[in-house]
Amino acid sequence: MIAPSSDPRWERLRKAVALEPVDKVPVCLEGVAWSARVIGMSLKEFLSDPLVAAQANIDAFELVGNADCVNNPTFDLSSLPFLWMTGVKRPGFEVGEDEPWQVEESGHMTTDDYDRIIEMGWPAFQAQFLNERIRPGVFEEFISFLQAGPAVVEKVNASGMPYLSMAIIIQPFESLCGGRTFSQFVLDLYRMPDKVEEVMGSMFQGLNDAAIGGSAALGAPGAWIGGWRSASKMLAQPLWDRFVWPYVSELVKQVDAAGVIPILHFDSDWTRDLPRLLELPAKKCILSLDSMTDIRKAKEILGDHMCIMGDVPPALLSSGTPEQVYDYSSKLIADVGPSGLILQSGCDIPVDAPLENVKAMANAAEDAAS
Amino acid sequence: MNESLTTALVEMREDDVLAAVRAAKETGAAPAEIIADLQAGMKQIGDKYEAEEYYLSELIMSAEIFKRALEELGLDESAADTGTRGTVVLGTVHTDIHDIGKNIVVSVLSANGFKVVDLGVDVPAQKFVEAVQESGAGVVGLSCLLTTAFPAMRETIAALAEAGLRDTVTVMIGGGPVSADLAQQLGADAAGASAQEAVILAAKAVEGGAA
Repeated sequence: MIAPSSDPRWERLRKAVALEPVDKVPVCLEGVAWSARVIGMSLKEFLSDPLVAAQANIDAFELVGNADCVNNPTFDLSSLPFLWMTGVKRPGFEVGEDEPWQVEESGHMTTDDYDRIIEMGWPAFQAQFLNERIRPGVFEEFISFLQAGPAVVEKVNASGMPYLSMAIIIQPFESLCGGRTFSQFVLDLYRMPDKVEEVMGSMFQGLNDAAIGGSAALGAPGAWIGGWRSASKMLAQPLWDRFVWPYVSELVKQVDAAGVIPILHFDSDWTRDLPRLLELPAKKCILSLDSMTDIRKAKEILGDHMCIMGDVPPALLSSGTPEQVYDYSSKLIADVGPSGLILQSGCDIPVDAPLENVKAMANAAEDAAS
Repeated sequence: MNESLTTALVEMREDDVLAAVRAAKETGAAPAEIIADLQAGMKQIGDKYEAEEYYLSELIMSAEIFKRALEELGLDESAADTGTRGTVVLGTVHTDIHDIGKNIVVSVLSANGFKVVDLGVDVPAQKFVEAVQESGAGVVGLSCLLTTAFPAMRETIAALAEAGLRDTVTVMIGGGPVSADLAQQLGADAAGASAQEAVILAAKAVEGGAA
């Protein structure tokens, strides 16, 4: 949660989540790779140490000058295999040291693994799977990343930069889907639904205890609950009702009960199921959209229920002009804000987005306030 | 017209589809007739997707059932190419290795009667040019997930123009970050937000009509 603060930026964020009037729509930078690129740091160096990544985010935040917070103050590539059970081509290793990382969704997990998960339990299975089938040592890299959490928070707090999240909460769908590949996993949902449900049930107990407890212990305001392949547009309604929503809604309850803001990081198109989000606790969550979901529909349905974050399209930030970004952002503020809106890129700011475009987004919020 | 086969496919009843295909085969139905019944089902599924009654999962599952039905007939996916819907050259452009979306589009286009030349991922511009020259394709599909692959899309379209092919092919782009505005910026003809849109765009390009 966000406590009342004398810092206007924290206050804007607190009020946005509580759907209270704000003096200015808060602007959040979800930079990650972009932060490195914009300050002239190679991606390899950015990923070399969570504290280096945190400093890059702080420097990029200061370069923009009038944003209110960043989403995640640090990043480590091992978090992607940990979330999605996939390989990643890494800058400086499998791709050039300043080329973007790329997820390799190549189906390392088989249907035989479903029984192994039930027999071994998810934590043991996951550690073995990642080290044996993805890359030796990747599990330990992720543990080291987690251990750096307190030092990152100390550094970020010392800088004064507000931030939103230090953890990503896993829903079983996304990990299994990443491990199997989306197409294969969809076939599993049709051909062996009871087995998949049994695996999800076995994984779910305690799956996120460490991430939720860790977020609370670090004093992080929020934690991501990620939804990528589990989006409404991807799945038939009965599949979504059975394999996605029960887990997402339970996770929201768990995160909220720990005093942490559930940040629903929902990529792709969730428009069909927006009304279901009314079942979640009011004025406690942030719904983060990537420009594929109809954000105005979200405002219409959820405007009195939860804060909406987004959704300046990545392609616009990457290839549009500052004027186009400014116009999009201004219209968004007019239509979806000012209260209950956090202005942000749709998902990450692309690595190749010009600084002027990101500044145009932040300036739109400042100008709308004056 | 074997309506029970078509309906079984539309309702995703995999075992019933395969049983109906076996039964039709045993009664002497020509493979082309059976394929036509299956493609009638794919058409209905596409329509349901457009009407937001069906979603991506149904497109994937139906394409898989379609493939298995062809296997039951001793055929592969190329048998679905009836010669009337034309050829599509498809690939993820240079610098991008993402292929999940591209693979779904390949399956759905194939099941809807298009011949698809799948060039894979990280495909250099010249490979698209060569594939169009060799196949005589009327449609080129460029896929990406990364915004950093936009220049490669632009280069591929330029390479098609340099080879004198730009006026003979419709170029459609697809993938997470693409949009109609981007298609215009890059010199493509259209952007598709889903596998079903790829079918519609390809159908319009080669047939001048709807899917």
